[in-house]
Amino acid sequence: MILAHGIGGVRDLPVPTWLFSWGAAVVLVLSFLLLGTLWKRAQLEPRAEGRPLPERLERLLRARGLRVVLGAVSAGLLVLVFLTALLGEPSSVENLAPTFVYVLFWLGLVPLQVLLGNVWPALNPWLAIASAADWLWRALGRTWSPIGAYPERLGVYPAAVLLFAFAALELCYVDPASPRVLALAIALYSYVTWFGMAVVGRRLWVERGEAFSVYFGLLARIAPFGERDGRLVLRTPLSGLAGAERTPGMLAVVAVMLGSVGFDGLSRAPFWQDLRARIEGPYVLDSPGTADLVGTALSLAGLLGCIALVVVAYRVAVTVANRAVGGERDLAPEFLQSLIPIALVYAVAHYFTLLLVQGQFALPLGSDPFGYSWDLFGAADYAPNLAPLSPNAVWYVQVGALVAGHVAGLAVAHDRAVTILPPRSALRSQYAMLVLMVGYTVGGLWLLSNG
Amino acid sequence: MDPQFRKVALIAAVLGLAVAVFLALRSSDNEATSTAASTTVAATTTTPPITTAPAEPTTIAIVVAGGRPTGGIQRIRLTKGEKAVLVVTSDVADEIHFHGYDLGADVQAGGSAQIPFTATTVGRFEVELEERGVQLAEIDVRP
Repeated sequence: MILAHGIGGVRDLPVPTWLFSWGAAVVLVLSFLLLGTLWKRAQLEPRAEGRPLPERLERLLRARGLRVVLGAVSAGLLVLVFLTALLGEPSSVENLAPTFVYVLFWLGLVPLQVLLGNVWPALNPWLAIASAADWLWRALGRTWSPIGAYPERLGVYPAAVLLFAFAALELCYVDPASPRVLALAIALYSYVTWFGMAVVGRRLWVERGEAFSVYFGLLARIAPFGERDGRLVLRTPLSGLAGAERTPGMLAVVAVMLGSVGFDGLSRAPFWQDLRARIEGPYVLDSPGTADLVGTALSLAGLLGCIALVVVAYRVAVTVANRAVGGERDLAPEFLQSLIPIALVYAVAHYFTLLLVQGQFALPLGSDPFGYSWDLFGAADYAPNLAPLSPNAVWYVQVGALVAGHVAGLAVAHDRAVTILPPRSALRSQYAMLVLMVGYTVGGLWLLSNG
Repeated sequence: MDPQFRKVALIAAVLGLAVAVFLALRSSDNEATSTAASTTVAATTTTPPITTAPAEPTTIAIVVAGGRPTGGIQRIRLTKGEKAVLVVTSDVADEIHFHGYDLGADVQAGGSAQIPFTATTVGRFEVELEERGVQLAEIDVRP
């Protein structure tokens, strides 16, 4: 199957040119309006403290029992999905695993993280199983101490590499929705994760190497709920993005987030499909294996190119901004978090219909996870609605999301600038950031209108 | 006047103007827009509109030579409710699969296969040679 984004048979109609032009025009006008009129004193950073949630609520949310139940359910789901992938019918239409991994997990957790804050650590099945193993180990009267010290300069590069591997499987591999391939991927990822946890300690690996923890954790910084000094707090949305991000490798993670969605859009554009068909063409008849290999290689090059483009664009913008303010301090870590809202809305614009449509298949597939004609809870015959929204509604959400993310990104960068720079330098530093974000947003709109 | 308030008022005014111009021009930009917006509910049902469905189904002819669609990937536009038939003539044996609608037909080497359908669901769909994973066509169904 040559399906972009791993799974799903229905794709969105491209955003029409007139709406593309409108979106782009609104982005430009808004940007310059904001640049001239935004606040002069930091607004997000002081609000990042937030207000602690009531203590009884906090105790309830942090209750050991809740953690154990969530962890057990989540670990059970990991085992179930692995088993369906390994043993169930080898078709994405009959097997729960592809829909679970690419839709419920990968897309479904995004709104949870952005609305509720970082709930993933409570759901993370790898962490839950590792914690259970640790508890058992202690109960046996033994102790486990990490084998090696984690080199700090590695930062989150391991997470960036693993996140890239997931994106490559989803977007570049010829048959990403094959249950058997997913079984192998789950096994490999679990092995790497538990190995990393055993070597450097599970908390540290979750922060540095567990790709999904790092990815979902970045998205949770947008949320109105956060954690500060060990307390759960209610805070202004986006205020979790205030401040510099100096962890090595974080630009790589953000670039994989943005670049992979960008490539997903690009790979649906007619010119890319035609290019792929031309390159694979000569091998299709006589040597299909070679055709697949060539196609995968082309996709990998495209994915890497998109990620590199994000990195280079950011580097160039920051270099210009550095020059504009006299270059006393490197601004690269200061504005990195302003890309996170843009990465979020790229994902929203490209995937929300996939979540809405393919997500419905979770019911019949959940009722018959292996494709053995079971009907565990009577939903096996549920017929999903393949077009729950009109194309117009879809387009407005897509364009609206990109514009909103653009404004949020500008606001975060601007807030950082007025926090660390005197007013005039702050304004000068933002010209380059503005060009960068207009580039990302108009580029995103272009992908939607050509996809 | 408070300068902070003036800024907010300025932004609000410009946004208001943009929205007004947008609403005014939208229908003239694209006449399908307003009708599509009002048929959101209808889009979820499977009954085709009785208005313009032609009696003769639209034929989408695809010729596969050397395992590839001649003339490259075909991009077809249909209107919701339209009846159409995919006619694939192929020099290789494979399964024709129409994704999303999830329709399929086997084709023998040197033979042809037909997939008749009514364009009930709006969106973009791929037709491919399933075994070889070769994309033949991309079908847009618009409201």
